[in-house]
Amino acid sequence: MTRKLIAVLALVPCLALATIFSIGAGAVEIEPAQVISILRSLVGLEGFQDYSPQQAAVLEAIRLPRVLLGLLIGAGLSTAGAAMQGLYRNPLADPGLLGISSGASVLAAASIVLEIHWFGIYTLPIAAFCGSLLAMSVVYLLSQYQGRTQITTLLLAGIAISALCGAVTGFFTYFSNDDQLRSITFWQLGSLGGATWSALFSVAPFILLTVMGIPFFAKALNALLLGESNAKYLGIPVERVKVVLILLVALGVGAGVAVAGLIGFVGLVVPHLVRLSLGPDHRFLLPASALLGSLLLVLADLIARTIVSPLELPIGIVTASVGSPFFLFLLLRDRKMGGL
Amino acid sequence: MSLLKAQDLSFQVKERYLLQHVGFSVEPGEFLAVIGRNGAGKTTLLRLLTNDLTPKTGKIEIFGRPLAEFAQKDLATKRAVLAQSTPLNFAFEVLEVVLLGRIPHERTASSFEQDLEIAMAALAQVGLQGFERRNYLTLSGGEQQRVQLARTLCQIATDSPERLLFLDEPTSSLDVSHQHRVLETAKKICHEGAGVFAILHDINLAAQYADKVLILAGGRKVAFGPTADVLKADILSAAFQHNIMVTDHPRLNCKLIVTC
Repeated sequence: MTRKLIAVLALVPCLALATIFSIGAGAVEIEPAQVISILRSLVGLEGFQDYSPQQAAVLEAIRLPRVLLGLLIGAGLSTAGAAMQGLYRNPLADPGLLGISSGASVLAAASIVLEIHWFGIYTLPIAAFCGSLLAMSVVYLLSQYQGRTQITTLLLAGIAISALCGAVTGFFTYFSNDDQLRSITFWQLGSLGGATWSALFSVAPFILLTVMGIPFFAKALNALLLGESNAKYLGIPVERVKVVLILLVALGVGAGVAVAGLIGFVGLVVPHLVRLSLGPDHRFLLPASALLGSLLLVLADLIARTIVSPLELPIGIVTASVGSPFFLFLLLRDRKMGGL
Repeated sequence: MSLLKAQDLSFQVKERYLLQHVGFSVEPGEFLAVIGRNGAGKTTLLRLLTNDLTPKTGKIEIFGRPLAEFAQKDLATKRAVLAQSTPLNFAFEVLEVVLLGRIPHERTASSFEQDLEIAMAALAQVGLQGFERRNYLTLSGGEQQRVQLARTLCQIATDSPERLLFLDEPTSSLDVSHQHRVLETAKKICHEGAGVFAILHDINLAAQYADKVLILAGGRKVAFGPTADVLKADILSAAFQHNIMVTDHPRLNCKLIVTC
């Protein structure tokens, strides 16, 4: 109990260090002490290290919103992933199963190929958000039967709707020209490159709601691991819990996908990593997943924007290529201990 | 006051009756076994009693009050249900699984230390002390079932005499030794005044452990009463539509059921 609490809390300083380091790294280098000084000056406190106005401008306009967006999206995807895995009682579940990602893809691709610009530069994120909520709602409605949410149907409907969305996205891709094809592909690989303060502020409420709301259901999720009827016998209002959790996941992930595209792997793997060391108790799993997800996404974005600079890799390439071998290593190492 | 009382329960899906005019009661300290063929309505009865289904007609009283009056949360502090199998495939430690039984008590005064004590006692009751830190997924099926039994005991561990344990074929997939350990534990909490409602497949287990037996066939009550009065060759043969003989157990003071 105490050991687990310490492990969760130990993630906080790690995250702070990664954040400061990540803000400092890039074409315009900023020392950690300078980063802290500039951050202090932003909130009206005295700095203790000299820095140039250029450094301050880069930090404020480019680096800070980007890193904060990474923190938010990492936490959102991981918390949502942990909640989905608990809800489905399947460690392989991820938020994509609700049709969120594929739904977002359809309207994102549509807005690119049909050259829709109704909302200026926000057209793509708005389209993606609408797409994810739309697909998600269809999946959810399909899973309703006699006033109950059938989790198995939810899963299968999610897969079916995802496949359908994939077909429609493929259709748009087929008719796209080279530039549009490039945009679609890049969007699908995910990127934090579009981070601005306004983008950050528009998605922050949704994602924060997810990250802070889901942990209130930690005990309910623990009980749900015993199956729905057992959870009910333990006094958990199962139907209400399911609906609220699905809603929280949909909003948080939908908002994340809207501004950063499809960042795979994080929602699936981060909760796994936490479970390997802390066990499946959601009271620790959820906050630890949020922190570790933030940490990993900030580091992944750091790699994505520095490794081939001045170019930028899509972050999805980094999360998958660095994460999967590491994940496999853990999986094989812990296989003897009864798996996940 | 009966811990559990059902009167004239009926349940139907469309035109087909799954249960018709079933009535019985469980008094404090009593072990009731429900037996019958597959499809006789045992599971339907359990689902009515746990409020998963709503009866078409009839009354269910639990702890002297109508079942529908109870909030799910309050009921969960004194009524627990152990299913035939529990679909848990996450690597909890054994003690963590048992502690899940304390979830309904979170808003009462019980502290974490108290909960821990109760959980340890429950583990000892099912004979699994020393298993606290073991990974649940590495246990055998019989051990897992006993951990789940400990969880349900932990759930209804209160000072109140109002305690009910529902067992839904708790021993069907267990070996002989585990079967008896599970039912011995259930019997023990009967001696402390709790009531047990157990759906059993093995009539001999009912003969050994039950105070009363309810026999269902085709959704109807065939017999209900003290074990020795109800477990008769003619009644059982008719209910199971199979030749069944009843004799005295050579060692124990109970009936021995022989199929032929």
